[in-house]
Amino acid sequence: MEITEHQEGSILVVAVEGRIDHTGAGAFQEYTVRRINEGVRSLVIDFSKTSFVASMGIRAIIVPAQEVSRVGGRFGLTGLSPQVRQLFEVAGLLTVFNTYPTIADALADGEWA
Amino acid sequence: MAAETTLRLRNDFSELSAVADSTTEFLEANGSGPDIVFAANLAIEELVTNIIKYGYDDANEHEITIHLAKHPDHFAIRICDDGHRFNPFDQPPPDTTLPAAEREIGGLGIHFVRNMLDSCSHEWSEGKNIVTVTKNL
Repeated sequence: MEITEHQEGSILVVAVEGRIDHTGAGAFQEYTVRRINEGVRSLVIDFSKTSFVASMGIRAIIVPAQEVSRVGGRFGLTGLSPQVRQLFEVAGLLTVFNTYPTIADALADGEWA
Repeated sequence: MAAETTLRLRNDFSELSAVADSTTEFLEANGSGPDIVFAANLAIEELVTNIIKYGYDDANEHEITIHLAKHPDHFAIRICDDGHRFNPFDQPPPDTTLPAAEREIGGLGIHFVRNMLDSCSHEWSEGKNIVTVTKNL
């Protein structure tokens, strides 16, 4: 698993390449929570290069989402493959998260902190 | 005719990434699409993680075997371990209508396996757990 980030307007886009599995989940959670603690308020996770997400990975995504919400920011997901999207759906989380087909769609949403 | 292979691993989380690579390689070599590759990786990751975490009453090294078979109309994974008797599919599904923060830890992985695959079964035979999951092609 490799994590990279870049700024798109007011949004920090964190992209995950590879697998968010049992091993990667902790590192992902730590990374995103650290960035929120450093002041990030608009955070989008980009899954377009994510090949696999396990249940531990889904849990690791809930944590930064709650943190951003706690500090009054906004959290979103983009680039979900049909399989990853189905996992979020099965977990009952698709309606909880803001999901966007692309980063451009996220930017156009206009409600970012 | 089925294409098949058997993978063996120790009860150590560090073994899982090599197993994932071998599984993906086997499936792609046999013409499987992203749906099958994802479902197979999910089943192995969730079921083997559970076995390593909760399956053993000692701290010894154990072998887990994973048999993969691609049939003309379905794909099957059989996972065999010598831990204590445990049927992962006996557990009640988690309440996914609760707010994320109020959910119980555990149970989500098996819930995923149940939903992303077409059949899930467990048997106890000769002192071993044998879990079989299949996905229709």
